[in-house]
Amino acid sequence: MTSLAWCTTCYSNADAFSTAGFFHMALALGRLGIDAEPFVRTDMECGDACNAIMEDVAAREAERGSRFTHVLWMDDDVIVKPDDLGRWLDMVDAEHRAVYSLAFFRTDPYRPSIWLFQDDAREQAGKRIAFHLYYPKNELIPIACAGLCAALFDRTVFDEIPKPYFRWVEGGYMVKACTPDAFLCGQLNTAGIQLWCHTGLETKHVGMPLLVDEATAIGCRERWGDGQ
Amino acid sequence: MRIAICTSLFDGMDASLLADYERLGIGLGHRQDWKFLAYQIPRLRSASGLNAAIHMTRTDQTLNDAGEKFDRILWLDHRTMLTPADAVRLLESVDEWHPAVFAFNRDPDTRNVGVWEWTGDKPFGRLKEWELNALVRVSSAGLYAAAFDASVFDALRTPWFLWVDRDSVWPDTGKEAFVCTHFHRQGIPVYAHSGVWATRLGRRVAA
Repeated sequence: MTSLAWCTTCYSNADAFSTAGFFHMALALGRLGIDAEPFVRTDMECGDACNAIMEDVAAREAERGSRFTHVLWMDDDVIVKPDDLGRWLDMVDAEHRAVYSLAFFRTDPYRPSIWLFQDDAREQAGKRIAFHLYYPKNELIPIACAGLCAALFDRTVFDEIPKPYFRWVEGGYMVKACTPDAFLCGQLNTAGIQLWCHTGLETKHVGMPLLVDEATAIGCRERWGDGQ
Repeated sequence: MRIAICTSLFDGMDASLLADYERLGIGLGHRQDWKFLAYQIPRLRSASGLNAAIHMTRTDQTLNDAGEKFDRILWLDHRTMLTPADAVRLLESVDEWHPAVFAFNRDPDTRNVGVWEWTGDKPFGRLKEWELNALVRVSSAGLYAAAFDASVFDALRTPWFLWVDRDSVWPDTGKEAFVCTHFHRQGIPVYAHSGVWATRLGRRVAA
């Protein structure tokens, strides 16, 4: 039976739009009859909160006397379509143990938050990564790294990587400054666990409210051209 | 039974409540015999958010096209914790004799009970004693968690909720007292369930 640890770090306040999305997701989990338990950590730095959540998950498993089969990570500013949940769970199997949804940066220029190794060779971990801008639509594709906006893991992947699972690293693996979610990807790659993204599972990222002025407008035009 | 879950989210939810909110959704979702739809309104002040949510329950085109209506409305404040079991109790306590049932609650700072009773012809006496685990006839209660027969709003004119002194028997009227005033005028009895307590988030205080 599917049992799911639903993990979210939320610093002080969950955005209204994503809160509504979370509640819809909760109703869907219940409706699907999934044994799901939420784990939320607040008021901590993101990497510490992620690690604390995994400790909470392990403690809860000891209390229940059984392990969760899956770990669902959702950031506190994303909206996942509840109808996608069933097929997402079906995707996670022995070959695809870490399946990310497709999310985009919530700031200009809104790139997809998925990366490939520059030469596509995963075994050369340590190589730099590049944005996967031209991904195929609605396919399950191998990736090198992804933002942890929303991802579904086979619970056992966390048995195969060393702690800490998450960490802020300056000048670390793969990129100049490694965020906790990129650090996790590094850990998974090093352990030989392939990361996947299904580009048909779209996660909506609650974007930044933007105060547009001349500087913003000129900055965007310099990046994107003037459209003439 | 078709149930609309309405919440005015304003600027979002305090992080400390998020897991409870998710737990509530999962728990209610497990009730396979009930169909839930959630109407959660961002960015509006509480009374406006409430009006918008109730309005949406009545104008949802998907339901209207299917000729369906909601049987119940479960109202949850965005600064309130309610267990799934208590939400179910609240919903199950609503029937034709008890069309509006509020959860008991306390002010998190003063610890006063946020439930009022009639004292003579005045509706704003704070409830001091009550039967345990029972439906108690009241004049009004804080709108932190409440279940309504969806049809009660048919009898009221809009706006259903308003935060003003005008048009109310209360001296300084919150949105809950406003709607209760209109319930009373239409002969709709108001109850609070003393076995269901909504936990309210208090202020964070730097001392």
